[in-house]
Amino acid sequence: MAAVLVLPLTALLVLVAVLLAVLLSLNRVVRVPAGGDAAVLRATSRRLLWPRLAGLAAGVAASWVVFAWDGLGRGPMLAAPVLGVGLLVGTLAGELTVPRPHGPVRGASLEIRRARDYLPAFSAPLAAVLSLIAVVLLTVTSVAAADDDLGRPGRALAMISADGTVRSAVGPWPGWFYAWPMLAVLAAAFLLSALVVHRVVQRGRPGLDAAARAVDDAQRAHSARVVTAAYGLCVALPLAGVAVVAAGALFRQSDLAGWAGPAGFAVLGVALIAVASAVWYLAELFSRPRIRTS
Amino acid sequence: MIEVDVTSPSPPYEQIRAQLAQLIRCGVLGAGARLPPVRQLAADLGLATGTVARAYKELEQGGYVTGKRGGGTRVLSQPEPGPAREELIREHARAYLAEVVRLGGTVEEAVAALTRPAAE
Repeated sequence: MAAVLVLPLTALLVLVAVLLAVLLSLNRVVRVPAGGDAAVLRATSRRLLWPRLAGLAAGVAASWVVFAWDGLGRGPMLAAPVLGVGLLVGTLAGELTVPRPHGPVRGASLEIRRARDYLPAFSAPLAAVLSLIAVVLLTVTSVAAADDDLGRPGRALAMISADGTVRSAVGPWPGWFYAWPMLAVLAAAFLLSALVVHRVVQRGRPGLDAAARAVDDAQRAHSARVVTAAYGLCVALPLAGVAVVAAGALFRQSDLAGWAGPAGFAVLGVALIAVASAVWYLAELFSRPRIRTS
Repeated sequence: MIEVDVTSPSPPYEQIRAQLAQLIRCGVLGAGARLPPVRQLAADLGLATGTVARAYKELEQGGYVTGKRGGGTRVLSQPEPGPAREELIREHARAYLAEVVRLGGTVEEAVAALTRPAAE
């Protein structure tokens, strides 16, 4: 029954993301002055794009393997972060292959490039907020978790009476059993994202004329947007799953604990925010800036 | 902007040092101004990080800049102001005009040769 609902819902959300991506692409026009070495700029674009697509393909393949890895739900939870990590590795590979300035005479401006010059103003803070919510939620669910019926730690939500008797235990519950792999993958994704953004900011400029600089800045901003979107998906999708599972367990315990119902609705709200964020990040991934010469 | 000619007999670190020192002396880079990070400038010039780091170190030893961990490299105030930027531009213009005249050119030709690339 759940699969019957999940598949059309996923297709609908992907469709919304594609439509949003089209709208974003139409509105994201970068005007650059005429001129510049078009061959160098095209070569840079190709070197950035192909490794990124290869990383995406590798990420899809790896997430497919991870999806089927664990019958207890950890595979589906880690599939999206693994896909995101693949995309991040591909983006890093693309940034590393951008040609270095060459020729006998080379110039450089004395500008200071910073990550905040290129990171998207909305998506990056949103990713930070989602990360914070994920850490807080997983900490709380880990503290509240109990062993399941087979003794696996942190897989059930148990209601225990004053004399220590377990009145009811429901699972799955996103306790430590699920929290540690998710937090480990998120930490790895965060460090990798920081590394890629550092590379995006620090790599050399291909040219010093106004057109080359404008196109280069647009390419850096797009790379930073891809990194943010990949990391955002790493956080948002598993967070949505964790929140839905936690809400389900809380609702099933609401007969025994009055706080469980409201807490379930609050966690369901987190799931909705996470799903909306995932759609946004997917749209950011699909969108591309249109470069127009003025 | 600074330029490095890797075929010049002067080593790249010395070219960077000399150009930055000149920009600081004539006030283009004022006291407190931050220089680009070593890695960024090295990447923009296609040079090794150590080359730019050596230029910065020599600037620091010459009293032009100060480098602090985490705070970047900043320009120090200079005790004696060097020649003004305008004076340096006039000096370069005089040298250019002298070269044009040596080649048999006129002042008008010199000005026309300057305005053409500037308009492109």
